[in-house]
Amino acid sequence: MVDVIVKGIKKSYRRREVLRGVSFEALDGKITVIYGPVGAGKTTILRIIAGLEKPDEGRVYFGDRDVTDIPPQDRNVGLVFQTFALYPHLSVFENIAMPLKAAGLPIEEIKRRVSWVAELLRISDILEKGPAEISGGQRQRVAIARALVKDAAVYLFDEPLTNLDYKIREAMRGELKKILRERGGTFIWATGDPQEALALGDYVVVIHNGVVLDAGQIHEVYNRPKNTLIAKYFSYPSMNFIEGIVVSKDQKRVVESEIVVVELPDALKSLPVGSEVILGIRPTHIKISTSPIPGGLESTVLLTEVLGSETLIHVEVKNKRLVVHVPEIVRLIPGSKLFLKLDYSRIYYFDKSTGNLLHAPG
Amino acid sequence: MKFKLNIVVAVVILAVVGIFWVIPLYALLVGSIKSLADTMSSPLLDLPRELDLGTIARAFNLLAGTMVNTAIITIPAAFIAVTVGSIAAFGIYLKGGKVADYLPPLIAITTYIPYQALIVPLITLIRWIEEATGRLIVLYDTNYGLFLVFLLYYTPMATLLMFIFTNNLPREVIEAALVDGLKPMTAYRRIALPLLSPGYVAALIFILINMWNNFFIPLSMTRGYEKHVTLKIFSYVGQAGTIYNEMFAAALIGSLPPLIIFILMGRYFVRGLLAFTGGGR
Repeated sequence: MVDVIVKGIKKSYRRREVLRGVSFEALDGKITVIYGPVGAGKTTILRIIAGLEKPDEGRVYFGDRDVTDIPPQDRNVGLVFQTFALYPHLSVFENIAMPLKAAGLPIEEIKRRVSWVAELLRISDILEKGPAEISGGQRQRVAIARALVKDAAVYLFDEPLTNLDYKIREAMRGELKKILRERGGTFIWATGDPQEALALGDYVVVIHNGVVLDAGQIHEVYNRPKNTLIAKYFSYPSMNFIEGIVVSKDQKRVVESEIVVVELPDALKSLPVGSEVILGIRPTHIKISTSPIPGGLESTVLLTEVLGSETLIHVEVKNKRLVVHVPEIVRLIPGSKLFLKLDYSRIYYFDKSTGNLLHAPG
Repeated sequence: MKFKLNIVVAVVILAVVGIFWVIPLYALLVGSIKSLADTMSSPLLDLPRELDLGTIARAFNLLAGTMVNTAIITIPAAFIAVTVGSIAAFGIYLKGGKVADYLPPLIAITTYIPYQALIVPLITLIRWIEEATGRLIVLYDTNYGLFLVFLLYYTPMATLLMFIFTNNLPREVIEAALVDGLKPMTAYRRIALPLLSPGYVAALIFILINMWNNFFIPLSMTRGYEKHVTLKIFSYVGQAGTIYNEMFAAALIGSLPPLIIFILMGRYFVRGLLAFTGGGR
């Protein structure tokens, strides 16, 4: 239950650079999400914090204690593996009790703690079973219980929901946040799923190709993406980008693009004519209509993607592909006409040459 | 049709190989129940003219003491060799990296060295130890000397065998044990060893049978023929002639224990081999 500080971590495997100078802090009492696509280096960061890998460069601190050279068994961390990694020859009870046995707690204390954590994760009825006799979702809960049962310096989760099916995953998210709150401690949660990150995290560290793109309070980072890379990777669904150029029109500064003309917000009025910008609009901020609407953009449907109870519609406007998100199930025939209305007040402005954020909607 | 042809070919090959193995065993069996005159006068593979179980009984009486002695030496030696080997293999596995890349091939090389090349330096070393301790420790022609040399000679092989099995341990399960706070030896005892048990048993059977059948080490480490079963069987080959029926009987009795072990534990042996090819459990 300490702050975890990671400083300038570099790690290569056989000349492939996985981490290229990663630094961040995870605060006690908070859930810090390490967010990044597959191969970003999330697992490597967790393994270095757990002590299973040694960094080539950089240090790891638990509070003010430098733990970089301490082996995993002396670090006191809880880790949930993506593959669950339960002990196949031991019962659920013995699996959960293992960290307590290793710490040499008396048997009464072990029993008390295991039944407490089993109740927390609602697995009290399967304690006598073996890992082969329970379902995937239950195995997941056992793995989490084994990590949470001890008072660890930090609890690490390596994409533990990825191997579960969609329904269980959704249900687990909400429940886990409550469980972790009740447990208390420092939590670091790796995931590649932006919805999971937003549902669970207090803080986020966005990594990509082994570098930290941004870190901070999760809604802050999500709502004000520092650059187009973060807007692209840490966004659900992925943001639409439209390239444009600043021009003067009827005494006003506007951004002109192939498909839309948008008046610049007050904060960007000083942007010189000729500046190249990228407009970012989230798929959730585009409204649709099947009949023509005033000021609407005419588009052609390419395909519709139904995800659970929501739909992503891929459309084309003058050779430019956009994605629209609808919070319900919609089926449209590819090739049919769809009229779009973009919410101009929700547009993000990025500098085209640097990719940096110029203005975020309020 | 092609599938059937494969089976036919396989059966024929197995039958030929089987005959090669069965004929000597058959000769051994019939030879040991013939009288001496019968063995000398009738062809090797002929059935006995009259059943003479006296030879077997006599051979057993002569062999029993040596067999017990061999068991006393080889069973603990095999257990310790495989235990040390599996701990060493687990250590190499945990260390990973360059150690896991280069140490096992080095160990493999030591197992390729023939007994003959080792035996002179070994005896020299043993004599030196005896002299250095003022003959307080006597290793030549003693049970514990034989035990020690068996142990030394077979531990690298046991390590190598066990390395095949440790290499197939589920890595994250072992890592989970370390993260849970288990010290490496505790992780070995509580987590790795139970998962390795099929491999452990397979290696144990293999090493034990090898020690039981080893001839060269007892030959060079002891005087006389009493300490190891292979020497005792060899002792029937005399300068004045060979008592064939008793030798057959002795060879039959001497080779029974490995056979019995294999029949009883064969299931585990095969399970161990399957675990290493990924088909086990």
